[in-house]
Amino acid sequence: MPKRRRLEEESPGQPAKKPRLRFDYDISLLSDELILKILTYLPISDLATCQRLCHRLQRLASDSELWKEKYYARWVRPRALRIPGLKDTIASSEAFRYSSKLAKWLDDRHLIQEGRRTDWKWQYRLRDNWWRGHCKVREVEVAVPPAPSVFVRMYRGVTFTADAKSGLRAWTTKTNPLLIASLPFGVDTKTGWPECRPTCLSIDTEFSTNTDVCVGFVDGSFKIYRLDRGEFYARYAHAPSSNGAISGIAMFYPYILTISDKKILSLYRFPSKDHICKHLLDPQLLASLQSSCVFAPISLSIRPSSGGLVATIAYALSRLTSGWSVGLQELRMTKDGEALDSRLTSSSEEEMTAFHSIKDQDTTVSARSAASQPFVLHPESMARPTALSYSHPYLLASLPDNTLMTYLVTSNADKLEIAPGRRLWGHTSSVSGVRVGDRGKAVSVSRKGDEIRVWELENLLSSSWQQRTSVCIQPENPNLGTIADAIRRRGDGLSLACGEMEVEQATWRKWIGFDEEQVVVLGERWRRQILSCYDFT
Amino acid sequence: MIDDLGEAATSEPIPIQNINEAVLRKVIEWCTYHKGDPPATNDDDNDVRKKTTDIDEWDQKFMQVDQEMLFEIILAANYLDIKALLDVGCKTVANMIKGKSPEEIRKTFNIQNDFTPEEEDQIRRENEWAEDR
Repeated sequence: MPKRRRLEEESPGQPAKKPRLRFDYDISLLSDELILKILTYLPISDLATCQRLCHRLQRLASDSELWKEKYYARWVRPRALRIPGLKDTIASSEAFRYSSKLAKWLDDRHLIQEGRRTDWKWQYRLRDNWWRGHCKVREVEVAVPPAPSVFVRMYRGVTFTADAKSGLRAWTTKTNPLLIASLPFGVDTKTGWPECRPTCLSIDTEFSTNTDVCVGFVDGSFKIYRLDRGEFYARYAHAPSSNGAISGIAMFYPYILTISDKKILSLYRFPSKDHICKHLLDPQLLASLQSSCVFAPISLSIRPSSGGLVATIAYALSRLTSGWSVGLQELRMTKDGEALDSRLTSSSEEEMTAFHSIKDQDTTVSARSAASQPFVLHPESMARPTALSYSHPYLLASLPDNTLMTYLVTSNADKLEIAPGRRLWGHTSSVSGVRVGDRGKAVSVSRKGDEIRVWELENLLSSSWQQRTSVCIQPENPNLGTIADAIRRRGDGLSLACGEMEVEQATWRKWIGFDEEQVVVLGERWRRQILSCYDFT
Repeated sequence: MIDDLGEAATSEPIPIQNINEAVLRKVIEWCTYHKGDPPATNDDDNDVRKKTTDIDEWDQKFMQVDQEMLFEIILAANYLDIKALLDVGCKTVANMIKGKSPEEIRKTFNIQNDFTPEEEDQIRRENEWAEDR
């Protein structure tokens, strides 16, 4: 575009101090403050246009405070209005009108923490991209045949993978996927085969400075590794056990929860106050429970609660008479030794039974369980849920008929209860992975067909009417190929479209995880394990 | 303030360096019409009207002036600290921007495009996401 020439002086300068005697009246006459005031009246589409006018307006229209207000108006206030109890106070008060100092930021409080410099335009865009399902996608190959299963978790922008061949690895997926640390699990010197196959992986979310990773193995042992300055080292190794392979593990220091193939749930506690030590001492077994009716998929979690800690296992539950449902079993314990209950108890719906519990003077564990209503499924698709995720208070399961069920869980001193759930439609093929994260945001991925959906469970469970229930992620630059993209670009030739469809058909996806900025999907294509990163920034 | 201004402006000239007579007359006309309005809240953060660019009919007509006058009114309102008039002025400018293409806005406000074509293209791409919102 050619520049337009003007005969008068070119620079916008400092307009507020300019002499009044001018004949051209342009916007550069106004001070920054006044232009910002004008800009506050514009919707974001016009703000985007204003940034393209000239350098000065580009700077002003991307002003962070301006976007902070837009962010508040679009994402925070509407949410405040939905929360029962807050609604009435809002209607009558000014509390939820935007104010740079006084605004109530709810769950977005972390963005306004003192000392934090938030780029509000960037945050707005990130949120908007999630809302629209708009992202970029990148892939990295994490294992080639004959590698066995890869396990993936992500935490604070770092993706961790574990497999028998390459061991434990950490990747940053922010720009191009990059390996930042790796540690082999050890190879048997005689056979050349990996000593031990990992069977599950989890991240300790208790720490803020270091990241501890727990890996469960096929021989019933588990190890804890720490990622420190780009290197992994082992902090603790638990001896193999006859209880079978560890199929699920969760850690919240100093507690660790495992479940084995023989359906034995064990809760351990490390001796306290040594979390700064490089190596951990042997933990104490607090409780051990066995069950005969817990089925995969299983989701383990530990979270702090008022006055203690709650370890939860969510699992698929089958009843011969009524079909499949989801069950929850909670182990509650105190942090400081004051007993919650005097003995190990279980609710009337006894899904798991304790066969072994160790009680010391410090800690008492209480157990209870709850189950959902059976899923309403067509008799022909009476099968267990395909995936399960629990992040208190949201429970999400994907069913064999391509729908999802979401539940709100009540867990307080008096009761553990799974409310009647809500069925979610959206996926058009079998769902292979679901994950619930903070603030009730959830993602789900279908096994085939490159369909990833983002759900806002809080909205879905708090009101029955919604304009939409989910948004389908649409990668911006899928040079990796999707059917939808192939169809759109069919003008480029059928062979290209066919090629892309072939790539898609050969891919199946099995695990999904996400954080504030991206979704990571583990899939397999031509027997290669592929990590796909969907970046919303 | 309205009264002060009215009297002062009609009786004798007071030193208001940045405002010419025609503009001051316009400002006084506005102030006279809005004399009876209920006082606005002082905390501009809490002003609901900020959210909308609706302008009442009389003000719309009042603001149908050439751009020179419009900007002078805004500057005068700012200088004299007449908040409600400043709001109306800013809303009027905002309405002139709304829905226009960059080239149309540049033309309207005589804005010099100081981007290189590459820069302009880059900024356009960076902000594409917000355009259809």
